[in-house]
Amino acid sequence: MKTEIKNLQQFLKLTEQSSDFKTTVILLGKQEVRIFYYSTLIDAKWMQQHLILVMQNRSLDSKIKKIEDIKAWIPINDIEITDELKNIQSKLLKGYALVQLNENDQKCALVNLADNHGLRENNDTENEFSVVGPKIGFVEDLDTNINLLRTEINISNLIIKEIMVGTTSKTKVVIIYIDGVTNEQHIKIMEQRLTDLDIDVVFDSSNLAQMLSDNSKTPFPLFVSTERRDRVVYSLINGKVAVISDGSPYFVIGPSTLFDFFISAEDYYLPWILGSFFRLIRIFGVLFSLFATSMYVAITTFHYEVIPQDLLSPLIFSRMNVPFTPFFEVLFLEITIEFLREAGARLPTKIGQTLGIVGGIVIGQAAVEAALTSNVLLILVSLSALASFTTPIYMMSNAIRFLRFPIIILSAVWGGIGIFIGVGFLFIHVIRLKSLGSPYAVPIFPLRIKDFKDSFIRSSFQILNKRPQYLRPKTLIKYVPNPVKQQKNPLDEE
Amino acid sequence: MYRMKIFPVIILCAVLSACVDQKVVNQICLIHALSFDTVENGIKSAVLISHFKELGKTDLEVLYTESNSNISLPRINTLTNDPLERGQLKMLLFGKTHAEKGIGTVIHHFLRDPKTSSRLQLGVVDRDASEVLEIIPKTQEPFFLSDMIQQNMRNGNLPLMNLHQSLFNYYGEGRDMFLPYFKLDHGEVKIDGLALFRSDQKVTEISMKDAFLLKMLIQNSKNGNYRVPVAGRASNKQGENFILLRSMHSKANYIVNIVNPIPSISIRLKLVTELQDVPDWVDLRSEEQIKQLEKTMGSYFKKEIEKFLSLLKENKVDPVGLGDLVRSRSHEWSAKDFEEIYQAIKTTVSVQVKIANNGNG
Amino acid sequence: MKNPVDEKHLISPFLIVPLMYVSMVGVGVLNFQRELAEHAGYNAYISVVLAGISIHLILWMIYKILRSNQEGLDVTAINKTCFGKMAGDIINLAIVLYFCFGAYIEFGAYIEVIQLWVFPSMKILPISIILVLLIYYTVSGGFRSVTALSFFGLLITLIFIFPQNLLVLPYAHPLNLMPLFNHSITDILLSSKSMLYQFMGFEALLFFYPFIKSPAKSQKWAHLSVFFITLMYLMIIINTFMFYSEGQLREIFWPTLDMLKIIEGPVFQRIEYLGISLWLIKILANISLSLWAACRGMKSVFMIKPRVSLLAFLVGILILEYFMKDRTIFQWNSKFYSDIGLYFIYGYIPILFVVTQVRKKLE
Repeated sequence: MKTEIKNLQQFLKLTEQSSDFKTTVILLGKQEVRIFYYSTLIDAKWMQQHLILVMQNRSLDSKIKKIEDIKAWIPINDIEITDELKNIQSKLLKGYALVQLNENDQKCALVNLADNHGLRENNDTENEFSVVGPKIGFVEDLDTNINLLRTEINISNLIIKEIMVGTTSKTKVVIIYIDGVTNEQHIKIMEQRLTDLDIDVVFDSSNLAQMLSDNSKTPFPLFVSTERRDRVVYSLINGKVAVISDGSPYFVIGPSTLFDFFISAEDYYLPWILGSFFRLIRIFGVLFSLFATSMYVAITTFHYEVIPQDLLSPLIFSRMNVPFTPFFEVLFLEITIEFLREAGARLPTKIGQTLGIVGGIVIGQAAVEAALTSNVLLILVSLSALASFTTPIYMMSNAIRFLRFPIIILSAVWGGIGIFIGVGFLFIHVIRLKSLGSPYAVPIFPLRIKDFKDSFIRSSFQILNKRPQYLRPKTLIKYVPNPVKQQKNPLDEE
Repeated sequence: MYRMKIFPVIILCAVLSACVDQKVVNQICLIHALSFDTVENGIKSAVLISHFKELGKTDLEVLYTESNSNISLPRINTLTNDPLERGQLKMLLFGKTHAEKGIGTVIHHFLRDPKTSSRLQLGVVDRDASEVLEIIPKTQEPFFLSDMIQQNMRNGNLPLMNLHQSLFNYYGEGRDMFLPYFKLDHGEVKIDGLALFRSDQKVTEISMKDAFLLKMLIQNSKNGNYRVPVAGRASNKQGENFILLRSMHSKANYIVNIVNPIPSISIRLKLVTELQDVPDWVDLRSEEQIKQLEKTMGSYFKKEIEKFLSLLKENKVDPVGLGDLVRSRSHEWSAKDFEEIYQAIKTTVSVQVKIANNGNG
Repeated sequence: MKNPVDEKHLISPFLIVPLMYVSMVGVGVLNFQRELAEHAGYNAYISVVLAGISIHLILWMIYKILRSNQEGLDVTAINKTCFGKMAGDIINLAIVLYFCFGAYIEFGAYIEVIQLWVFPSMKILPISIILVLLIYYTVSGGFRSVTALSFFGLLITLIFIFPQNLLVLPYAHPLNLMPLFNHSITDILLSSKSMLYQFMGFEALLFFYPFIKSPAKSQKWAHLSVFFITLMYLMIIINTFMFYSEGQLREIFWPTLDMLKIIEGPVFQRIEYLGISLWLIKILANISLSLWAACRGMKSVFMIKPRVSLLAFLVGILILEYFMKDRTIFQWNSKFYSDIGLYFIYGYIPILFVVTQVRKKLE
């Protein structure tokens, strides 16, 4: 929907859809002056003191006849008189305010009121760390967050819609999307769900994410929740809808697929071969974490024939004096690791470090010496606990840690067959999930080969120029890459 | 709502009541080798079981039982405190008497057992098989015998053998089984060639030298060793000189010329070798000497193979699978008829030896 | 006439491949070699090719039947229009029972495989309950989840079948296959008949035809999948023949699984447990598809909600499985089912074909 914006009035109609685009009309004597601005991008106090107050004071003396007089009136240096739409559009997004004398005037003044506070208010993202790339994360203040977002996505098509949620807390919740890219179905569904929401206090966006989700009977998170700016920006550009509530630094992004939870922002900062490799390692880590301990239980309890001849002696020897069956041993160790994790998250730092080392090493060593567990199993359990944290999104690693237990129980009852019964259940469960109406297991099922380029592997930016198909965006192409210059074979040039 | 409650209840009931037979890996007794001998009133079986007491050292033990039927393994359960499990069985031994009487029933039993791997090794001993088993605990290696066989298959003169291959040969019409032959030498177990079977009874045995010839005939004889005598030119020759060669690659081509009534098969062998050990007077740099050596070796092999084939025909055994070869070229073929004409079939052999590299000089 | 099935339940045409694969390849692939080699000996691979060709013919007939009417009708509606409401309903009921029985036979066969190879002294009831629950969960997700499970089953077995056949090659004796053609034509045809039992199952196409997006395009995919399955069976049978000698094959009851015993991997020494477990997913997809078709048939014949009939069928399968513990009765049952299947494919479908073509000409 790219209508030609021919004049200022049409332009203003478009931008008015965003709730942070404000219009102020001040009366200077008998004259009306209209000021348009993005409230999250300008410094409000500045505008109050140096624009509005000054104009009101001056108007007591004289009148503004034409727009060029504004320059003389306002003590701000950076004022431009223009009627060029492109200029107006870009300057508005940089934090300028548009001053218009009469309603149908084309020529207006652009006054620089940008918020120059710098980046003091955002935090380094602790929970989603990346070695390279910006570490900018969002804060608890909604306006600052939107400021941060708008400075990155510098177009007017970024629409921000505000909804009041929560009967007691009356929290401001905003829906953000890019007009002309995002499919209207998704926006409508999100809006519908938010307005239908019946709750007293909204503590955090994660609360919202659970209440907005399609299906509450699943351990899988149905929306990506992130506090990194580059992740939100990437999702918005692809055509997703983002929701954030005031007082929470986490954005809730939908519709998401299963593979969105294995994508880390760092993949895009490394060369595409490395990015793909690390993604594959992540996926393998998750599979390992899910199935490693249950395979140990199945093999040592039922299928001893599978053990290779050279591994037989160490394996049996390691279990020699353990009085429990493998199932109880695994359960014991897994629960110990869960205790360690839960306790470690709540201990004060000084005690936490020592206790972590004590817990990890000493308990593990002592358990093996007391022949309560075997050392092979200890390695497996710690590795799989570690591997479950390879997913960049915290919610997903929780889901994986939880899902291990039913599979262990199934494998303790029916061995290898049990593991695959678990796999069957898991698979069907994932297939039946829907996130904001679109299937969760895309691009595996429904099979979309074109969307493979950004799921298991990250293809080069040459290939990533189209938006994913499953989001049904209105415009498919993000950018048109220049064709790669054919490298001449150095042998031919000699 | 009901559905949500019933689902977990059903699952819980099913899961808790399903007690499949557990075979926890440190609470079972693994059998590594079995042996069968014929005694006066039946069959004596012995098993080799292991106790993994310390890392790197395994205690092995041999247990016996006698019965007048073939398989009496369940009786050995009365001698152990853990249940016996056959999943890791890697070696089956047959004593001399048992092999001569016939091992068909035992093999058939293991054919139908889903728990045993098809990579079992079988073997025949020149005396009571349980005596060999008694020696194994000294080595503290549970898989000593099967590893020995496998090592000799890969790097020695034995052709590829395991349970599957033996079953293939036994049940196949036009082929006969062959198994490694063990000997006890100064208290050590030694592989001393192959035992040839006709149907399921042992007929004769051949030495490791002939085993290499068999390996050449039926498969690519990589890494086999052979000693070829060469006439010496030095004045102080004491007996003949030998060249030790190692085969790098060999291929056998069989061409069936006439099928009826008496088949005639021509075998063309190509052998690529590496010289390992040569007498001093051989000059490896001269091309004519090399060509001479190749020719001598070729004719020597031809003679030996013809001798070997006539030995096979005399004993009416067919490990090479000539019967199978004829069957594949003939429209109607019956194993019985072939047996009768087996001794009369004509085989012509031609061997071409090539020396690939000469070692270091 | 508009497709009576809602737009959002449709699947794209090439997803018919996993559906056909899953419905045709059942537990039979594990032990079909013995029966096949009974008559035609080691020339039986010709029988495989012949059977495949005849299945192509039947598939073409099915497509003609389904396309002769307006888009979006499945076999129940066609029966009603061709044979009248009363007779059509009776035939529909028979077809529904046939599918249901087929699901039971596959289920029982797989439990037999588990009992033989993995857990000899397992109690059947608990694992049947859990598998039944899994099937219920799949089928109640609708056609989409059944297709998803089939797709997963196809992937998994593909990952397994090709490496298996390649890894067995060192033990292959190509000489076993010779001489070619030394059995009579009747022998080869008899073997083809026993081969047909393995190809049976694609009748589910009669039910899920309205769920395909552009049915005309799907015909090429369906023929492609039959071709591919024929090739797969051919590859397996040739491998089996090269691997076993003829006498040996007569002694072994489950040749495909037995071949797995030879393969030795670096981490796992015996991978037939892995193979059987992977086969579980495929069998579940097979049973889900048959049951889904049966439920849909019930819906159009008796207007019973599919979920209710699904529950009824599953309970029925459980009861049958629990009480029919005798293996000989089970063998007789599956023979009975195979014979009925043969009449269905080679009797009922050509009759339906003729009737629909005649009707079309008359209109």
